[in-house]
Amino acid sequence: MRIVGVDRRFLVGAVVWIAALALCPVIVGSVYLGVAILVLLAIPGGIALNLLQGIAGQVSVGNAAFLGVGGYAAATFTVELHTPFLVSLILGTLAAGVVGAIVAIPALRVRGLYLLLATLALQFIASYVFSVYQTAANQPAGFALPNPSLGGYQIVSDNQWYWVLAIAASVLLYAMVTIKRSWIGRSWMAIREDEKLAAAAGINVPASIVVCFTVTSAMIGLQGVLYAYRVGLVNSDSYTLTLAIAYVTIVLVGGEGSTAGPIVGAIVVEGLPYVLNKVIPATSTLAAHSADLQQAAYGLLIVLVLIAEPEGLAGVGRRLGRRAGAVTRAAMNSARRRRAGVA
Amino acid sequence: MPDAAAPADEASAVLRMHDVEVRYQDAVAVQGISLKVQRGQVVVILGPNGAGKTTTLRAITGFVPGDRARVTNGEVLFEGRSTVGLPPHEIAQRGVAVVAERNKVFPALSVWQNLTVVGGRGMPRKDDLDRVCTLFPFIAGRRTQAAGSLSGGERQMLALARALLLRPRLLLIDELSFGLAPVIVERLIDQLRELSAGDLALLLVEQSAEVARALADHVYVLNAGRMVRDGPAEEMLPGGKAAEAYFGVVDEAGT
Repeated sequence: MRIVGVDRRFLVGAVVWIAALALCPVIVGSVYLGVAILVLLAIPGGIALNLLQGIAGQVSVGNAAFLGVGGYAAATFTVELHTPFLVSLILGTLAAGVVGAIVAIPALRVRGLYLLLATLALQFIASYVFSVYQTAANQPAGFALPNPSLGGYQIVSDNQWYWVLAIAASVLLYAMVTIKRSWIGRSWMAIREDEKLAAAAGINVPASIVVCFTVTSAMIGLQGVLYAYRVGLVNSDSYTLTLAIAYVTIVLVGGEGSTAGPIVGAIVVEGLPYVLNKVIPATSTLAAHSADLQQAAYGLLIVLVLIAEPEGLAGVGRRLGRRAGAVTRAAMNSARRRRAGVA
Repeated sequence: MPDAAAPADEASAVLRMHDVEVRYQDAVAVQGISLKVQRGQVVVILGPNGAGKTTTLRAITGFVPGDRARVTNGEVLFEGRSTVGLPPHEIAQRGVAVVAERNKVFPALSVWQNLTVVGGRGMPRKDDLDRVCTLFPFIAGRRTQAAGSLSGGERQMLALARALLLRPRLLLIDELSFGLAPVIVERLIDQLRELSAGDLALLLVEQSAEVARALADHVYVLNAGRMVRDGPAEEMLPGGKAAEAYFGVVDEAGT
């Protein structure tokens, strides 16, 4: 069985993605490389939520909690046991996966709005546990992390970070595409559509949901470790509901379930604050409330996208692509007819 | 109803229900349901609306218990093994496929995605996919179309195709003819006849005597949650000697 058929769409997507990664530092320059890094840092979480919510239909605002689990697990191993970066990365990812599985079991009993509320509760519980934990671990200001090193190289500069995060995002994108095309992704979609029909088709619905929560929580955990190392600090104030909602925005704006969605969504959501800063005069009253303005802009963006384009911005791109293809084909056909007529 | 079946008969029974009772909370939905489906046989349960036909199917597919309903008495044996209490996906994987009356397809998924949703064993095998595409030729041209945009008849065929990809030994169909044009029903009947010519056993639940007449080897008549009669199709259907059980006034056989 071929898990991923290497077809044209996949190849084109991969080439565009790699070319964009290679060209991005050249185009944005060193000033905006930091923004590009934030975008890359947001993509894994977008991918995870895209699978959980877009593919499997399980709504969740618990992602900041899993981000924290990844961060705290990695920080604990790094600070207490001096594990190298790669080991901490793996352990943080696994820890988030395990917590995801544990959370999924009670979550099986609820769906839709109630699941959303349950994950909201998870966010508040996690927030509390993180702050208690960091006090108990004698790190009241949070865990400070050293610069990560890979194969003897310290990752310090923005340029190095860019490539480390680019690789992580690429690996997760590949994982997402593979899952979407496999029978596992197919069964998650089936569950999203109709759980009873999925069960009648032989799909073990509860097990599939637990697997989905586990895999996607691990992905968010991986991002949590990267985020922690990039910031250099794991602090309970970082893992807020606002952050969780930013990821929901990434998925909704990018386009639920679509492959390009997390990329497009991450660019919009991470780029928005910079655009707002450019547009709003620094001396205006609005500029003093830039954080609130950002929240309002996210909210507005979600509403606009849901009204105008429920498939998200990736859906707009897909449609434009199809239209461009149709126009090109029509032009080529009419040219062919003209030539035939002349001959 | 004769229950003491001969051992040879027993061995070839794909499905056997014995004295099954299902309750929704405290209300009895069906009671004393006993039936048998043999390999390659087409059995039809006939009955009016609300007779308990769908509940009977649910007791087989594992969707009872669920929705506050449970099997409170009797046994359901598929190939000699009890299925009561098993989750629906496990029953499906054992070889019981079902085409429900409503919600037959995953509307937002493409036709091809619908076909490749088969749990537990990865993607369906290519020769199985080829087989259902031959059986339902419309699929080939509609692979990428969303299943929600198919016509009623096409949805029914897609649901049948997906059910067959489970490689079932027993196929349950709830209201094959519901909402479909007679010409489409005829085509489906032809296809089902072809399928049952193999080893596949079919259990259909129907309001329509036409479908039963066209397909059934054996007919059970269900009314108000109880089996009122059963017998070979030619006796049970209009013109047959026991037909009044369903088509006339329900007689004393039901009590």
